[in-house]
Amino acid sequence: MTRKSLYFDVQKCVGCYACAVACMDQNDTDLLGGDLMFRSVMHVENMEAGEVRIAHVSTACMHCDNAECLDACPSRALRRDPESGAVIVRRELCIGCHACAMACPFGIPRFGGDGTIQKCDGCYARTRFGYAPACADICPTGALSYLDINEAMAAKQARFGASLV
Amino acid sequence: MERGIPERETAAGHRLPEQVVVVGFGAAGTSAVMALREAGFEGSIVVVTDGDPNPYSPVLTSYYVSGRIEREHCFIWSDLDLSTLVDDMHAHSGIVSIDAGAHEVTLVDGSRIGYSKLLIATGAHPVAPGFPETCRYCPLMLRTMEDADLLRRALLSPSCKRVLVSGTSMVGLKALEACLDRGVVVVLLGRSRHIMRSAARPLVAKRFEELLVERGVRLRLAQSVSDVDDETVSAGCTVTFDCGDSEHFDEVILAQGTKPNLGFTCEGLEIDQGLSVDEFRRTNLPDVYAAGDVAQAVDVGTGERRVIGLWQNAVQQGRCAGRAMAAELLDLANPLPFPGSLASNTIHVRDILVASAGSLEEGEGRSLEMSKADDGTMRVFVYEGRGDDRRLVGINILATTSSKGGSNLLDCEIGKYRRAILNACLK
Ligand SMILES: Cc1cc2nc3c(=O)[nH]c(=O)nc-3n(C[C@H](O)[C@H](O)[C@H](O)COP(=O)(O)OP(=O)(O)OC[C@H]3O[C@@H](n4cnc5c(N)ncnc54)[C@H](O)[C@@H]3O)c2cc1C
Ligand code: SF4
Ligand code: SF4
Ligand code: SF4
Repeated sequence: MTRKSLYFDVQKCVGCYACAVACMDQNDTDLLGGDLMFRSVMHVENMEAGEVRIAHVSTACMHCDNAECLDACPSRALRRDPESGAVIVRRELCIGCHACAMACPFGIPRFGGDGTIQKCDGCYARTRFGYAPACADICPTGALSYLDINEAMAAKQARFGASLV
Repeated sequence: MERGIPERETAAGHRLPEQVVVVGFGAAGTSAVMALREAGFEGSIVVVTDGDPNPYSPVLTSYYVSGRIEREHCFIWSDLDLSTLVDDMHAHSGIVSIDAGAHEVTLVDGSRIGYSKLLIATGAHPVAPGFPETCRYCPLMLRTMEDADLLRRALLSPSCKRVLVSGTSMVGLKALEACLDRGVVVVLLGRSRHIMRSAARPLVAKRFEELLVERGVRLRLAQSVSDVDDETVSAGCTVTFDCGDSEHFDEVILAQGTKPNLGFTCEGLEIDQGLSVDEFRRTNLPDVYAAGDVAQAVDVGTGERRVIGLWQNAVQQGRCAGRAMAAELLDLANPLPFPGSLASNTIHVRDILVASAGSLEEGEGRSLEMSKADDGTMRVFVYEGRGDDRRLVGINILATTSSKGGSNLLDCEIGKYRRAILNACLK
C-alpha cells in the first residue's frame, strides 16, 4: 500500500473550524499559555465576474517532499518520520534560530513563549496506529481527507467525471 | 592503491578504485555521504577528517558556550550511527596533497588513498586580521568544539568579568549572546559604522544597535584595535583602539570572518575565495568535487560567485555533490543541478530577531520601501526595476519576540519573501 497523505479540497471546505479545534484537542494546545495553533482556517473573498466569491482554506504544514526546513535546521530538531513521511519536531532540540521559518515558503514554523518551534507533526502518533490525523478525522464535509495517492486520484477523477454530466 | 576494492575503468582507460573519498565530515561531508547511499552507491566510502568521527554542528557551539544546551547536543547525528555508511574512517587526520592525475590523496601520516571521486568538504576557519600575532595573550575564537570548550571555560572563570567581542556578523553576535547569558560585561567592536554590514540595511542595523545597548551591550563601532598590551597586566590584556582609548579585558573573542580550509596542495586546482565549483559542485579537475564553506559557487541573488558560509547551503551543496558523484559512478541520469544558494540569515540575540534574504545593496535601478509598525517591527524591501518589471530582490526585517505577535508575523512572512526573491532570481 502506498503511503497516505493529507489532502485538502477547497470546494468542500465550509470554514467551520472543526479541524483547527480537533488539532488543538489532539495536541493539548494551550492558547492562553502561549501555544500556537498548528492549523489555521482562512476566509478568502475574491471578485469574479462582478460577483463576490468566498472560499475557505484550511492550512497546516504540507510535509513537503523537498522540505527546505529540514535542510535549514542546524540542530536536527526537525526530522522526517521514516514511517509516515511527516516532518516532525523534537522541540527539546530546538534552539529557536528561526532558520526553518526563513526556509519554509508557506509561513508554517511558529514559535511559542519558550522560543521553540511549534508546528503540525502530521499526527504521526495517530497515523502509525492506522488512525487518520485528528483534523481529517473530524472534518464533516470531507474537505480534509487522509488518503493514499490512488484514492486521492480516484476522488479527483470522480469529481471531474461528475462535472462533465 | 588499496587491495580488495573493485576497480572501474574511466573513459580515458584508467583503472580506478570504485571508491569515494570525502575529506571533511561536517554539514557538507555528512550530507554527501548520506546522498551517495540514498542514491544506491554501495561501493567504498572513505572519510578523512581532522575532527571527531562523530560530527557536530558549529551553529550550536555558542548555545553550548552559553549553557543553553549540553555539549552532546552539538553532535546532532549521534542517533544515526553514520559510521555504518562509511567503510573506512580516518578521524583526527587530514590530507596534505591531492594528485588529481593519479586519483590519490596523501594523508598527514604519509599514507595514500586512491579514489574514483573525491569530495573536499573541509569547511572554514576563523581569521584574525588586525590582532597582533606576536601577542602572548591568545584571543578566543568560535568554530570547533575545541574552541567552544575553551570559550566556555573562559566565560565560566570567576575572574572573567569583561569581554571584548571583535566582529559584528553572525558569529560575533552569537558569541556576544553567550557572554550576556554568562553575565559578563560585553563590548562589541566593529570596523564599520553599523553592525551586520552585509546582512542588515543601515536603518535596521541602527535599531538593532539601540536594542543591544538597552540590553546592556557597549558598542565601539567604526573602530579597530591599534595595540594590545599583555605585558603590564597579570591576566587578559589591555586593548588600545584607533580612537586613542584603552580598556582592559579579561578575554577577547575574535569573530572577524572565516577563510576556507585549504591546507593541502593540489596542482591545477582553481582557487579563488574558495574552490570554484559548477552547478554539480565539480571543481575544474576531473572527479574532484567541493561543497560547503570551502566552495565558491553562484550566489543566485547577485549572480556573482562567492563563498556562502551558511548551514543550509552546506547541506544542499553536499547533497548535490553526493548525488552527482553517485550518478556518474552508477551511470544514472544526471541529477537535478543545484543552481546555487540565496544568501539569507536569521540572527536572534535575546529577544531581538533580524532576518534578511537576497541582496540588500542600493544601486542604479533599485528602490527601497521601508515601514515601521506600532510594535516596532521594521521592514525594508529592496526592489529592482520599475513598473511591471519591478521585482523584489532583498528583504530585511527586525522584530522583537517580546512584542506581541512581532516575531510570529516575521516568521509567517520571511519564508514567503525569500521564496519570491529566489523564484524571481532563478527565472
Ligand atoms: C558560532 C557559529 C554560528 C553559526 N551560526 C550559523 C547560523 O545561525 N546559520 C547558518 O546558516 N550558519 C551558521 N554558521 C555557519 C555554519 O556552521 C557553516 O556554514 C556550516 O557548518 C558549514 O558546513 P561545512 O560542512 O562546510 O563545514 P564544517 O561544518 O565546519 O565541517 C568541516 C569539516 O572538515 C573537517 N576539516 C577541516 N579541515 C580539514 C582538513 N584539512 N582535513 C580533513 N578534514 C578537515 C572539520 O573537522 C569538519 O569535520 C555558524 C558558524 C559558527 C561557527
Ligand atoms: S514547515 Fe514548511 S517547508 Fe517544512 S515541511 Fe512544512 S510546509 Fe514544508
Ligand atoms: S528554530 Fe528550531 S526547528 Fe527551526 S531551524 Fe532553528 S533549531 Fe531547527
Ligand atoms: S495533522 Fe494533526 S497536528 Fe497536523 S494539523 Fe492535522 S490535527 Fe493538527
